[in-house]
Amino acid sequence: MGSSAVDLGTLLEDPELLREDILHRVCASIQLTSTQRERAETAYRGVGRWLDAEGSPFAALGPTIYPQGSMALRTTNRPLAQDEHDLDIVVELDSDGRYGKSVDLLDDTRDWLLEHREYASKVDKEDRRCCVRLNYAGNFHLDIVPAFRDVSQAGTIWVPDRPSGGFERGNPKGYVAWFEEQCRIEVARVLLKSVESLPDYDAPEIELPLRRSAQLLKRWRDVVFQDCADAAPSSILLTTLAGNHYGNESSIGAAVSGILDRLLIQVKSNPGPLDVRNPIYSPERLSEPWIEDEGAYVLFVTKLRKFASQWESLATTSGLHNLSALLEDLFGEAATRSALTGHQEALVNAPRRRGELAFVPGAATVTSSGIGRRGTPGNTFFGG
Amino acid sequence: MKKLFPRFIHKSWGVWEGEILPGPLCEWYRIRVVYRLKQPPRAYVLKPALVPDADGNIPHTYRDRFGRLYPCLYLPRKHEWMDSMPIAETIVPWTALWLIYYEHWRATGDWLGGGEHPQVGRRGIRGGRRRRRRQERRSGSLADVSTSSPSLVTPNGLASS
Repeated sequence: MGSSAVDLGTLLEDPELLREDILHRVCASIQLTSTQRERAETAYRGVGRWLDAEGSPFAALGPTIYPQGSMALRTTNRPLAQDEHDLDIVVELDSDGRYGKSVDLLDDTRDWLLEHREYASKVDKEDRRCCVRLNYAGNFHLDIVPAFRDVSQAGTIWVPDRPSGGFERGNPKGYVAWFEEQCRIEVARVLLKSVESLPDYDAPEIELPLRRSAQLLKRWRDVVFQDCADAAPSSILLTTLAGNHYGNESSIGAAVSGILDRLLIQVKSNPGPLDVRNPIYSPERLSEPWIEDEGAYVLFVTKLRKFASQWESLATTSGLHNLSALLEDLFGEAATRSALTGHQEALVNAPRRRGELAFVPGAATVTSSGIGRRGTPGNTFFGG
Repeated sequence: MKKLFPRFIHKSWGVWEGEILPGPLCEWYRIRVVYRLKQPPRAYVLKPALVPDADGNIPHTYRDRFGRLYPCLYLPRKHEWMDSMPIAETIVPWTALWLIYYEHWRATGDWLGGGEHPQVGRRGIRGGRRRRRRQERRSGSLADVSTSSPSLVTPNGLASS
């Protein structure tokens, strides 16, 4: 029974491949749309050009502009419901000694943006710790971080810290490089890659498992901490935990399982809150909020255990409706519904339209035509 | 039936029962296929029982004279099923297909399997049918897939069951 060559039926008869298809579709439905990504890129490139324009206090300092955070890591999620969406960008500058105080750097950045007729109305009035914010329509914010290059340590930058008046060390490019390294597995190993290019399969966008896992962890955080946002772990903390505990698994299903299992083992063997450091700058403790508020850590662990238990039951749950209920609890209704609909369209409706539906003798499992399968005649459901 | 569904039990004349798995992520369902002389064949879903929505409805079902719901699997007027066609190659796989759409409908409230609804007199649900068909088209269903002549897409040709 079944074909030895890989075909659509191979996918339709394999529960792990089908689950993986759904998970990739959940991720695709929560990531920024290409329109949103392009808009964000257009916005920050425009700011970069202005900061380098004639008359700018930074023109002589060789400004280069690049995104940091989730945009750089390619793990950006759309906001839940109508929430705001931030993009962090760095404006890297040569240091010529003229800015001794961080507040001067921040104020000059803001003042120059106020000189631009379009940006003037977007500049946020609030004094922020390390950036100047521009508010765009549609709840989108651009957080511009002016920072000095450290010529003695490639990649290191000095970021203004308004409260202290000084500068703090950072290395966003180094972090991205670290994450990319953690993500790396042989692409051919990625589950679904074996069927992705089947001509009759409208596959979801397939990304590396760790990248997808980080997206899902952040979306899970958004959903389950909705009512207690102050206690929610930061994106960089979650992304670092994912990167630290990923075990080169080749599917989203296995990657998230592995990350959660190993993380919970570490939690169990730690008497207090986990101590999570920036992987490329260990003095920076990303888990600082858990030291300050142990209740937030306890809440995180409780929710994490529930996540792990729900994830484990994903693999054994039968019934699309039951699977859907689990996924909705974890990642929200809209994303789940969109994923299941895309899944059904690609894997059942598309072959049905082509007259290629078949069934597996014995269990009558719906599949696509091929050796060992029996064709299913076309039909129209009727009745009330 | 025996050849394609060897584990189905022939309960009595014209009645078979057995278990099917519509998709690897679906539940197993026990169904009863009933095919009596001079009556169109039908399949009942025994276990797990079908779960209606809050209004007590399930898309594309009929009730028999005992009030039992069963899936409505083909369009009589288009002769999608004729008595020359093996039950095993039509009713059973169509039931499986119906169940996949049913589970999706339970998950999302959307019926993606297309289909038609019968008219009930000049008024009544005609407008309702147009509304439902608009809804089904909007949800990307297959109102256009219903075939006027059933064609067996069998790589091995017709086989007796």
